[in-house]
Amino acid sequence: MYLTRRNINMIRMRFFIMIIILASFSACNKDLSDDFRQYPNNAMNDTSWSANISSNAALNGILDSTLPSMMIDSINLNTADTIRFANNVELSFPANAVNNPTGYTISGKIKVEMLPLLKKGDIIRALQSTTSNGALLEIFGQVFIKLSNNGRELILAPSKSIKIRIPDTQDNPLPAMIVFKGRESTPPPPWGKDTSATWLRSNDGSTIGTWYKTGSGPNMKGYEFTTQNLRWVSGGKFADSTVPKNKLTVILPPNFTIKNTVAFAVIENSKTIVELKANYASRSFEANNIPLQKKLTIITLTKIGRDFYYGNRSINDIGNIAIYNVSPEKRSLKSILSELDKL
Amino acid sequence: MTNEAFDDITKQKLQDYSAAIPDGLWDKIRMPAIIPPADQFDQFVQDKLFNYTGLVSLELWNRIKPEEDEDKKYFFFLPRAGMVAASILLLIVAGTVSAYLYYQKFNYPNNTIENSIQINNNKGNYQSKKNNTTKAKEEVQTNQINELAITPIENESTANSSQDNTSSVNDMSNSSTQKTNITIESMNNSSSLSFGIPKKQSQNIQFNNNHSSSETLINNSNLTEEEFNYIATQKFDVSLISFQNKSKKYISTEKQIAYTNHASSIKNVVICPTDQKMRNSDWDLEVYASPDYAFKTVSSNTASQQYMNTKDSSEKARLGYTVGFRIIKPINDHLLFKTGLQFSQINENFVYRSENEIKTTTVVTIRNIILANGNTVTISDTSVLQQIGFKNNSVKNSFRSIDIPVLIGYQFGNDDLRIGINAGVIFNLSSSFKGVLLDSSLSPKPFSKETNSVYKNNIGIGIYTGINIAKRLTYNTSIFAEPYFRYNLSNSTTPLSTFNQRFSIGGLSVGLRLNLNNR
Repeated sequence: MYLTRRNINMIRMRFFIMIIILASFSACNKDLSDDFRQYPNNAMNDTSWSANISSNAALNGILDSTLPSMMIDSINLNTADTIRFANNVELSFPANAVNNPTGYTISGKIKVEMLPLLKKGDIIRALQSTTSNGALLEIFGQVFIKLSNNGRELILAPSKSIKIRIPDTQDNPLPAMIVFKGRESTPPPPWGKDTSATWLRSNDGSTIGTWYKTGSGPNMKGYEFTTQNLRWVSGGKFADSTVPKNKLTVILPPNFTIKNTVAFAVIENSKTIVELKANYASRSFEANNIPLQKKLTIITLTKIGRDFYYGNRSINDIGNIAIYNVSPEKRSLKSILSELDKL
Repeated sequence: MTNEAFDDITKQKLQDYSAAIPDGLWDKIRMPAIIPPADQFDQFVQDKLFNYTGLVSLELWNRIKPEEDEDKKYFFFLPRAGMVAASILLLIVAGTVSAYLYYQKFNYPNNTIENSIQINNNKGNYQSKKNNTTKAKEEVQTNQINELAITPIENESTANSSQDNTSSVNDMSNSSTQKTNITIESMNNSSSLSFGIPKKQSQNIQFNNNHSSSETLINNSNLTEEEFNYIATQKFDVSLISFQNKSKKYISTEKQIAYTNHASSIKNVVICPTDQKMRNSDWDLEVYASPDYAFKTVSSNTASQQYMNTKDSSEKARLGYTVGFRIIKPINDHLLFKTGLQFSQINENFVYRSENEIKTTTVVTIRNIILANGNTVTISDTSVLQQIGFKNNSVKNSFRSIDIPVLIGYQFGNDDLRIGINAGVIFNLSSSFKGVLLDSSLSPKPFSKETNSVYKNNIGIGIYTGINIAKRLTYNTSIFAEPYFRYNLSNSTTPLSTFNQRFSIGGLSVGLRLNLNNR
């Protein structure tokens, strides 16, 4: 039985349409398809927050990579001696000034480790801030001094002081500076960042004077202060507390959490660095007492897995509602250190 | 009182009651049926419209019988050129058939003569058939009929046909002693002529005169001299009569030669059906599409076994396709020549796993922030969430080619359904490849026609074979399906490639075959 002409034309038309559709389908066919599966235990996929930072948090791994190198030397405790490190940093010990932890005087040679943090970038690399219980400090530098003998850390003998000379990076040392000592957790964490650390004014009679070097070599100006404290020592002053202040809040993308990120506010024209503490409730980083009408830069450092992320945002004035978001970028460690060195 | 009680009373009263029928009652019953008066309106309409005729619009007929109109379009609504072509074709076909039938009839008398003679020979002596009465009748249009019909041959043989069954001449000579009567039924030269030979039986010869198409029946027998003279006066061919009278022989073989010579003149101007069968003037077009499946043959050239294993596990054949058209020239009713152009695409999946893939998703996070003054603000932040993992990538590798098929087909069947076999070669014009391939380090590497150094740009010649099944839809349209197999004779990879790869393709072409003669 033959079909009608109308049906035949319909069959022809459908056939040609089918060919056209087939050709179009071929031309528009998506070539690539993917099936993404998360790694179950990868740090990047962990976007959760915790109230406290665990000792094995990725955050602590940042310090291993960014902390400037310690300057190491030795000194004979039997006589007074001075160690001259690089960058014109000097450390002078009187004779018999060191005891072991139990209080007995140590003699002979001991190991001396010193870490001067003279620039803003150095302070951030050490994950340090310049605040004293929330109050902002304007410092000229921080020094970490560690004495040890056979792996045991030593302390200064009572009433003994060491003298520290550090150059002023501005070559213009200011008067009326005071000594601050770092208060650490007890005991301090063997590794990583001490989240409880702060700076306290030293009340042990430590003093700071200016230091001028002339003669051979380039002339140099700096600070010379005496202290009865080892480990973290700083010199500076409290920032002006009368200026208007506000709370600064920084929001980061979900990948950047309390476990892997530290954030700082770097005040311009002042060696003042404020660490923004992680707020678990709001999943943000915040700090009080940030001065208004001052330029500052928000810096974030993140380590996820083996990768580093660097966040940077400049603000002229944080304003009344000081909530800012920062989008860190994946950067090499070298690049990040270079950026920090420019601060 | 109930109905039942009333019925009972009535039954009791009238059960045995009888009465005489009044006079005239039956006449009243027999009164003719009352014819109701005719409706005046109906009568009026009938009177007015009974003989009325009016035109019926074509549209009305279309509404009543649309299908018939559709059917009529097959021929009568063809385009003018189509009608002319169809008419010419019809004339050719009709003429061819007529010539064929005529040719068949032309050959038929030879057989009749031979058969008739053979029968008579088998019978042996004609003398035993004296009692049979045979009537010979010849219808002629002109007197020249005898001049061209029979050429006498002198043959004095008097052998008995009963002893020689191989010659019809002898059969005739045996009848020379028989008495023959010739009766002229019509003396008009243009009319028919009959030779009556009562009680004489020799041989019946029946043949067709090609010029007049009339039928001639000659009863060959002995003629008396009077009969011969009479025929001569009527301007019949004397030679014929003389031949019959003198030699009394009839050479049937010569008669055949005469007919054959005559028929040859007809064959010169008319194409006999067998010749027409060899010349098919049709041109057809096939448009088709086919799902294809490629069979791959891979061997190592310089590649390691690990590479071959990884390649094998990464690649999986997918359904491809072919589209194209073919021009068909039927050589005769069975043999076809096909050529055209087609585009083929072989597809395969290339699957590989890529590690440390970063998936980026835009997310909106909402946070409640406590300001320095103690107020809480809700912040909606649009940011990016990055996740790390692995991907199972599936890439479609495409191997495309443009080819020219050159095929010979043999088909058989009827007009409605035909089955055929196609075979031939496929010449590749161009090939291109796009997709992903493993490099020497087993890493996936994208490649295209421009960056490809692994695959050829021309894969040469392939062998094609297929079985075609065509079903006619209309007079000039058929739908067909053709399962086929294509075997490429050369590798699709270059000699520099670390492996050799060759494709063979199986598919099922489905398409339409259109007659281009616009019949």
